[in-house]
Amino acid sequence: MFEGMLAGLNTATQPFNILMVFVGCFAGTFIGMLPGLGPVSAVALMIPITYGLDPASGIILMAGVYYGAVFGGSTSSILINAPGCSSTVVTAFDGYPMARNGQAGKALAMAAYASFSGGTIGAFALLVAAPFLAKVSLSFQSTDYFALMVLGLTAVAAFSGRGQIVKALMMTVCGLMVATVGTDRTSGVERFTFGWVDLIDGISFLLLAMATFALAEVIMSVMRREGQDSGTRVDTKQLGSMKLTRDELKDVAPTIARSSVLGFLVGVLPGAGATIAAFLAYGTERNLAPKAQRPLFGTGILRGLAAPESANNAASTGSFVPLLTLGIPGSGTTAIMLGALIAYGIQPGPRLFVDNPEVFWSVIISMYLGNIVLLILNLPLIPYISRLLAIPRPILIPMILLFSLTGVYLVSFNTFDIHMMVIICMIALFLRLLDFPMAPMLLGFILGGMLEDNLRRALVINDGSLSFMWERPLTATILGLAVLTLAGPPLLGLIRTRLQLRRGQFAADGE
Amino acid sequence: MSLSKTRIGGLLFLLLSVAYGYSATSIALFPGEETEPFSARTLPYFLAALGSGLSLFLLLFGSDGDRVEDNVGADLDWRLAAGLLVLMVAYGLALEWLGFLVATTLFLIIGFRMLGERRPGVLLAVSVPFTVGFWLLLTKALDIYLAPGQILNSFGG
Repeated sequence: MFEGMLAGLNTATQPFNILMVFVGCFAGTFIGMLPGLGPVSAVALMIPITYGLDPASGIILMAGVYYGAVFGGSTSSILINAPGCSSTVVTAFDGYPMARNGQAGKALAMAAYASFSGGTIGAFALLVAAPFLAKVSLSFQSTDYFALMVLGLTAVAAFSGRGQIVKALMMTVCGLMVATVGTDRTSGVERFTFGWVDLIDGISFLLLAMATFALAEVIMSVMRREGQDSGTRVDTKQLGSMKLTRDELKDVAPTIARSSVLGFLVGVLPGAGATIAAFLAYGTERNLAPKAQRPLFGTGILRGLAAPESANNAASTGSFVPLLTLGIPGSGTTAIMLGALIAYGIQPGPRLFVDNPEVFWSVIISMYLGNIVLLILNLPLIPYISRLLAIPRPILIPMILLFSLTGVYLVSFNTFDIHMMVIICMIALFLRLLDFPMAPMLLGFILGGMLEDNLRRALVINDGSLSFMWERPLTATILGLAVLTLAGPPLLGLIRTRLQLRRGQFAADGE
Repeated sequence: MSLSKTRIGGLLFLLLSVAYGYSATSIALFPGEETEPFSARTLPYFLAALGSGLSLFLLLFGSDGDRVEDNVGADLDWRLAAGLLVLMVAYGLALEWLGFLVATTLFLIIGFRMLGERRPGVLLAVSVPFTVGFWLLLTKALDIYLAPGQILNSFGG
């Protein structure tokens, strides 16, 4: 293990890879800061660039972009109350009121310190958890993998919010359907190509990710006329002092520690991700706060800002655990990274730890470096980077569209892909208007091929019998967990309403 | 039963699942593969069944909370969104016929204009240097071959 760690350290500290961390963090911060463009789009936009790099550098760049984008998202949340992504929505609850009170600098500094601490605690936890989990998962068989993928897919649906579970499941199935387009990997027969030569290789993952995230998000923001009101903006030239007093730091330190651990644990769960971590941490802190302090949440207090910021960064790091050890992405962004790794010919999962230790370890070590870069590079530069928010949207939007289109075109050099992107983007826009989530579809698409392979293998080994689902204890346990994650939230909701009804009855009887 | 966003989605996915399942019946199988525990049709059949079940659930039990109002989408800028989508399709065609430099410059100029930038000086001053810089980066620094457009090709003989 130490040899691998040293190899990883060696790879991560190569000048070029350190440069990639810098470039990634910087580009990520910039893209994440643009309202409407979140880490998923930021990472998707980077894919064409990473094709020219070796796997370790490519994944280091994408990881840098990932946490840079999360950090950038908090900046736009604080300064213009326009979260770059869903995970920084909570940051705006207390960050934006602080900025309105003339404490923008302090809010940004707090966000940076909390992100750094969250990311650092997360990176250390990853350092311990990932190899352990990777070792355990070496004993996994294809049946267990199949069960794990089912768990990953159901978890994404289960965490997608109240009333959205069936919609998210439908989108997951839709993604699995799209994954079956093209040539079947085992038998070599064409499926759903309808005689089109361009579809024989299937739909490219990059094309799908760009069309459903980068393109659709930009067009959606244009459609909703977002960013046209400049009245809510905080003057980015006068951010105020960035210094925090010792008392303030003392006050938020326990919050940061608690939220980081909570965030990491939530991030490790497949499908949960940074958004849920941020909301959970904010809610927990509000409940833990003294009664007198509770009404202050939402008016601009440091505790309310530190909690979601440390939690979402720790969760971003945590979501790498299932990706690196099991090959199952924990969020939309890690789903894109999984696709990119597969395109490199690297199969993330327990074998990654054995076969490509330099990739495994360099990613973990580069995460730590990334956190340092974010703190020492981005914090002093924030007043300047935030001026980029002033680039007029008429100039910015066509350029983002151009990068998305050329990003896909430059991989295939086929203009059919551009037209395909527009068609998929139109479908994605329509589904977004109907409130169908996109991330489960992408996850379904990426896991589709692997799910089919593992199910096929499991069935062939078991003579076509599905009994492996309940006969092998590990498989049964994982599938049981999948059922639990899916059925748990609605059941809990049902029990809660029943209890409330009963309590209401008691109260009525007592009167 | 009123029309809600969930139900519209449910209906569309039901149609998709049925069409998907139907076209799965025409996936070619090798002789004898029908008796195998897993063939190229197995997963598509399963997905079609699962998709139909889920979409029926959405259709029958979808909440009425997100009912589609009469003035749905009135506050959305459909024209601009449609214009940008058409512009992207046109860019795909232009790349093939006019080549990267001309197509990209035109794409940016028209895009800027559609989004409200009218000053000709700005349109040219941003789009031309940006396109040329991007082209130089791709062709000279990254050594990527970008084919000149078919029209330019035919002029060049």
